[in-house]
Amino acid sequence: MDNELLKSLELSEKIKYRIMYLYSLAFILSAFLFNSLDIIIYGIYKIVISPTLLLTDYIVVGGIGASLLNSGILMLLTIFIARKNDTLMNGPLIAAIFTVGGFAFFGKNIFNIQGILLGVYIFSRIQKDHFTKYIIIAFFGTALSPLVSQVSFGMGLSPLSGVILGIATGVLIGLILPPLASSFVRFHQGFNLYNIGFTAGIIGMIFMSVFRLTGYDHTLNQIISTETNIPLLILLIFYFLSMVLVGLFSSKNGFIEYPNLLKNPGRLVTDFVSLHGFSTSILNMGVLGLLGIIIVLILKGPINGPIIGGIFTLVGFGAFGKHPANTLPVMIGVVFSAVLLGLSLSSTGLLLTVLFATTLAPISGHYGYLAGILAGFLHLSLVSNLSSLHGGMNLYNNGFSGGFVAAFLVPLFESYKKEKDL
Amino acid sequence: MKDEKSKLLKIMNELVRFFLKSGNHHVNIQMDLDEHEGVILLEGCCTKISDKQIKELDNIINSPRKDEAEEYYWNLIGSNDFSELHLLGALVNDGEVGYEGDNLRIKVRRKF
Repeated sequence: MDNELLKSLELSEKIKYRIMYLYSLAFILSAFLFNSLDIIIYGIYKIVISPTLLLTDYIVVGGIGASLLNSGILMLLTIFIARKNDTLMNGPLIAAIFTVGGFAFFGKNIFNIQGILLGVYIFSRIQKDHFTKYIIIAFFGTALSPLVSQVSFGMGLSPLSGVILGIATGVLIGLILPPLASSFVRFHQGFNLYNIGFTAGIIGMIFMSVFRLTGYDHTLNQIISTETNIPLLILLIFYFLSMVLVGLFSSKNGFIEYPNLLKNPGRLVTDFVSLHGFSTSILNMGVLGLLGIIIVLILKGPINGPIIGGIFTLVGFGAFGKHPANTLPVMIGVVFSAVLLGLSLSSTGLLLTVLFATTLAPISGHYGYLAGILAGFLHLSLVSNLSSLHGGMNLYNNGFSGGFVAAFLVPLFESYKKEKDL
Repeated sequence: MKDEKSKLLKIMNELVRFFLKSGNHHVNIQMDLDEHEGVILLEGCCTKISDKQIKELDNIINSPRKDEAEEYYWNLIGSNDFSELHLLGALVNDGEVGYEGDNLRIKVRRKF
């Protein structure tokens, strides 16, 4: 579609923000369909005091109602902070909002994200810069929230000193994250969509190494629900279907522009909202959400907290680089490799790898389907070896792995290309 | 603020890449900066530039600046093996593209 025509059909920032507010409110209100207020409040308390290391399913820890409320509140908070800082509702921001909302089902909560956000804010003040410039890094940077929870509640400190030290750790993370995130993006040249996941992996690894040097260590969590709650599944299906409908009917360009969106390789920084409009992006997000659910159901997996987190991240990046054409080859690569290796396809661990391997979608988008399948295979091989490096404190472990896979593959693909592009 | 000069260098690199990609082998570069803004002007003759490319570049450098993702991606621009021309608009406030005869002239401005 012509650039000028696309601009004329674009929704206003006010409407875009309202739509995003509605999606976070939908989760907050839905919480009360599952549990009563007192159960939800107790669930939130249990969520907040849990160490939240990988993998801690908040549906098991606090229940469905508390998990939905936690997710809705965190999304609402990120949208509110973005609005107060006059941030445009574009692809990176939408990806950040849904990633925060998704990981609010297994690792992020109202307590453990605050220190990191504050740290990045202080960093922006030290740099005498607007917080807006760092807001995306701040939101994605909450990947290291389990580090805050672990220091607060998992190291045997007294409650007060634990909480103070935990928040201080969060602030410290926020202070070192922006320069590292900006620098590490060069390592994988934008082919790993979860750039902060890679950065957070390095930071988590450094922290964990220091912890281990001082004699402290911990084991990874495996608190996972193995059941699918059918009403929750139905809620998610309606949630993503509504995105498809909003995409189709909120603007004339939603459907017409979609084939053009599917042509993008998706490498960082591909902002679908700027390139193809908000409606087309939200249509793509809904399609990816439904695709994620279908894949999990086909592989007979449970719809639990971590899986919802994986699907939500897929959905969020539907505005920032991912679409069915570039994500499916990578997912097929993981599933195909798992079949060859005789791994259980329905395990939460494998399904998370399938969903989060789409961090490497730009490889299939740029170099083709076979390259995407190969990336999926390498990702599956590498990802399980990395979580012990950061002691499960980096929630975006797949972004950590994706960074290495992209940095390994891209120079090789470039070297053997017939003609080098400038 | 302290990264402003590095950002200008990367913007310049990306524009030089555009010239090279267009078959140009001679580029004059002028960079002016004060405490408020930096302006980069590139001039050279091209052999493979089409009206469509000129229009696309004009659209890119005059698209709204996007501060929110700047710190996330600016290191990608002008430094690796891939063209990041589409990101230029997010880093510059405005610009001009002129093509007369064989002479291509690109001017961009970034406010600090």
